[in-house]
Amino acid sequence: MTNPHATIALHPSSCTSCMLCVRECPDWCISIEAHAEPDPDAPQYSNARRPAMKNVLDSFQIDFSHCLWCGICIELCPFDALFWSEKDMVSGKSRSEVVYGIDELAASLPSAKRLDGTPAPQLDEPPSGRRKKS
Amino acid sequence: MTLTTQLTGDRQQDGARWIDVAPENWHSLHAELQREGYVRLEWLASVHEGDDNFQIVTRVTDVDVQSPVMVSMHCDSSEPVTLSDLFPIAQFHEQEARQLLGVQFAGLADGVAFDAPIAGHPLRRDFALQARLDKPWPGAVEPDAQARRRLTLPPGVLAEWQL
Ligand code: SF4
Ligand code: SF4
Repeated sequence: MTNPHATIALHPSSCTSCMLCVRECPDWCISIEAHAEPDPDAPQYSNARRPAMKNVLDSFQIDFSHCLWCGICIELCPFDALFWSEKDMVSGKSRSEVVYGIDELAASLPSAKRLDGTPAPQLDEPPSGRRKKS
Repeated sequence: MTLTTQLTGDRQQDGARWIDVAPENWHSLHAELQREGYVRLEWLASVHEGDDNFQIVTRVTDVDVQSPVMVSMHCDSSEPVTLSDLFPIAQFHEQEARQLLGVQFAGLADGVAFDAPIAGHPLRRDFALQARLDKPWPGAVEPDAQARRRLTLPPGVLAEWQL
């Protein structure tokens, strides 16, 4: 039997490092490192005090040794970057094996679904939640 | 079902009847419900609301486990009276509340719910959790250091816990 909530998948290019999931996770098991750099795609205004910035994700970790599988991070992510995935349940012999980084979390994308049941975007697909540049 | 015990609230919500009652009527209301056929106490839960304020909720049903009634009261830690004379299972839940929250139920038998040494009352909101002191809050990271935002603080961690 497959478990639709076996693990959590991250679509890295959808994540804006907004920190909401990190701050709302009741178990403090998500941690993010990110930096800001000028956003080349943003409109440029001559009177802007500083250039429009965008956050770039450097690392994203979920420590599954603490995770409650509560799904709060998935439900609240405003950019649709986190998904439930059917991939094998997280397991490991030591704690370090169950701390997943970007690559491990993205590896769960193929069997990940949005909350409405449609398939999650794959690694080579563009961000799902952000407005398209017009 | 009309109840003769004085109620402070009575409403229908989420498929159950919710009754609010003052602490002095807590026991008599449950006795009346039991006489009316509500013979199953499914659970009793206690919540700390800060300072010396608690909410205690029970869920009672009839033998067919139909038409559940939720009974709730707001009280301080010394006001509750045990329901264990009416519903034996209440003893476990009340001992749990006494051990983890420090709520005293008048008439409750001595004993503990969990046979483990527990220092203090860890389910109280003002109880400093070691896990919250040992690890820095991951949410303090601010990717854009130049963005002037309001300082965010870890939820549920009181300022006086910070070392
Ligand atoms: S809530 Fe979503 S977009 Fe924001 S940091 Fe978490 S995963 Fe990234
Ligand atoms: S599912 Fe896990 S990582 Fe997500 S908010 Fe809940 S405890 Fe945190």
